[in-house]
Amino acid sequence: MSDALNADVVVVGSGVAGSLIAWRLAEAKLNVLVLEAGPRIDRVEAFKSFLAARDKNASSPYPPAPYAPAPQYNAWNDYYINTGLDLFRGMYTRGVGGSTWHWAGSVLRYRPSDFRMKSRFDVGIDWPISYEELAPFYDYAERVLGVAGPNTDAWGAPRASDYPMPAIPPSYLDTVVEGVLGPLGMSLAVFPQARNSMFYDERPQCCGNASCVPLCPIGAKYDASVHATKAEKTGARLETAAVVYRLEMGEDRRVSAVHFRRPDGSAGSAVGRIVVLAAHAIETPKLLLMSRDERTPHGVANTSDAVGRYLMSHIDQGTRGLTKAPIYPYRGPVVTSAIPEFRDGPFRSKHSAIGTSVSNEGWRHVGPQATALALIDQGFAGQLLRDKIAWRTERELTLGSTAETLPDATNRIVPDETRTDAIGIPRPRIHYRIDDYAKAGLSLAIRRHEAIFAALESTEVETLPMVTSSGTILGTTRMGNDPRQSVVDRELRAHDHANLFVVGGMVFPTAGMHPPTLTIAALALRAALAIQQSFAG
Amino acid sequence: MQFHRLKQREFIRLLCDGAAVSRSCPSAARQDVAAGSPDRRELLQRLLAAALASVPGWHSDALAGALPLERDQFIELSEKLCAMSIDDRALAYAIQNALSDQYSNDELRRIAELVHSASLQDVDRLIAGSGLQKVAASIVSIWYSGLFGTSENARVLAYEEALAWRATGYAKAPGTCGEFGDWIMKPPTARDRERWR
Repeated sequence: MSDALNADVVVVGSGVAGSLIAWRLAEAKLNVLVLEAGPRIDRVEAFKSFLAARDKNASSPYPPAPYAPAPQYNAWNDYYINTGLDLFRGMYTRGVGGSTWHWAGSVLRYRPSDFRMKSRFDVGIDWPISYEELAPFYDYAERVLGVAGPNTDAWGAPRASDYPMPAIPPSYLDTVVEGVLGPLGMSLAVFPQARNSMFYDERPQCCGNASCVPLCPIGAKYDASVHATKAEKTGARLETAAVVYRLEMGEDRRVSAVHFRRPDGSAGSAVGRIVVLAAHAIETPKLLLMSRDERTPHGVANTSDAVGRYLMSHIDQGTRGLTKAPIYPYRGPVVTSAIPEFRDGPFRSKHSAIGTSVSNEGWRHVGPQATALALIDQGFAGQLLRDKIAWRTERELTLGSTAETLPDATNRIVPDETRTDAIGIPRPRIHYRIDDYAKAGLSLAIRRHEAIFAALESTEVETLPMVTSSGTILGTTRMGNDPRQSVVDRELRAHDHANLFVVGGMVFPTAGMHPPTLTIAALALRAALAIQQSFAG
Repeated sequence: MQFHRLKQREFIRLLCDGAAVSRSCPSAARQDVAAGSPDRRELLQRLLAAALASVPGWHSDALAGALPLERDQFIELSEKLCAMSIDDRALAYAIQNALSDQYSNDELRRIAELVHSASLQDVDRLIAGSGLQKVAASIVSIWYSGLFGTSENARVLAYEEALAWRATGYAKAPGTCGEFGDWIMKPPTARDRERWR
């Protein structure tokens, strides 16, 4: 092991969880090494890739490096091997900053009841920590990511502090939709977002790019390259193109080495007093399960047999239509407002909570271009084509609902030893089924969508297919107090191995129904403190 | 390059890069690109035509059918078919070039002549009876979508300059900046949309 890289802390992954931990621990004067499987992501190069791409989807700016493949939009099974009833569409990016490069930036806290699903609703399982324990770290995460939000309690999570920036204002479209919601027993509230409504943390104010998902052209939307950069400036070392494929276990049941492979097939290793896995909810359990030897015959951290199981997503379903009056979509962030009702209540004992939001993106990402092609195909040209494009574009509305799902041991990711990637590492095999809990919630949501479209006197109303969310992957190394049922403890330390931490959405015991990133950030900041204290002690 | 080092001029460089010149590109830079090699090539074509015309035995009509449309003719044809004013000469050149892979000079010349003296209202009717519907739809399709071809191998000739965005009168392509809060109010519409008519 003489050539091994050495550090106090070896962090695997430089997404939002890994970068925040690396930054905090570097600030605490610890020697930090970050191993990132993918490359550095250059904003200008990403923008060029986006411009050159035929399909302008969330993957377009970030074509994966051949040595670090990742699921791509609308080409899920080029990397995943889906074997279950339903297609798992969890998308992530392997590169410095990770998937936050193309996230929507919505940063709602989980509600207190999201942590207590078993005791309140007799479904799922309780988290080993409470909302109250995490609340100070939510405050902290909102400051370090930079959140623009409304200081209301509409979102069901009590706040001890104001948001660091004023809210991103709602769209014109929001106000039109809001106008019909009252009689339907619904309302609209402004979303908190990790997007600058003013100059903040040396990043500019949002420039009105519409929309923000594939890429923010100016870095007004937070992405984790912010803290990867801060970590490096504070002294952390960041090794890119270092694809970790095995953790080696010492006699003391501590991780003794982290082995990685380079794009040319050469090997490297790193040794740390603490090892932190922050490589998302697919690559992390895959790595743990691949790390089998005589000391860990079922994989690392897996005496519970929970590693790779309890894979959760959110389930999305939308309805679209053309409103009678123009609403002018394709402006502003993806979502600026959403319906706060139906996100919590006694009904969660029977069906999922539902988050319904109003999209500013019209029917699809580059809608007018697609609309033009469809109309030309129907024979339209000239003045009529132009007018028709304008008329339709002005009226395109999509309402999207998201349902939580329950943990299920049979929803699972395992490494497929027979199907490997370009550098010989097993690809993820996934077995996933959408549960009835989510389906029941969504069927009610679709009826509400239809009522809203009716109130807006809409035409061409169409319900879209129910799909697993591309933005949420959770649960595959869940936290808990019971080592027989969970992988990590409430501090995110592996039950089985004292020097191994796992941080990210993979530790969530239940899915909640809000976007998970702020909770991932809060948990990472909390784990950083625990790691720091373990060195002090 | 990290986000916080990304300066406005770097975006200008990026947006002005390549054949399809962006509308976000400042006017001086646009003219530089538009005045580049495409026009020189057109000049060479004209010189060649003049040289050939002086050769005994060359008939001027045969010559006209064999040569590509001049740039202004192609722009006029595009404007008629799209019902839009077109001032992006560099993009027009790229589109004309792409079309020449699929359609003969003769076909393009015939459709240009057909719509040359037609009013906007008459264009659709003239095309419908001409047997030139396919080439007409191709031209409109590239200008409006920015894509040439529909298969997975479709070429991207334009994105934010695709006429579909301009046709909306208010929307712009994802990835391009507007102003903070420009989504709050009803956009200025009818009169603004008349500007380019």
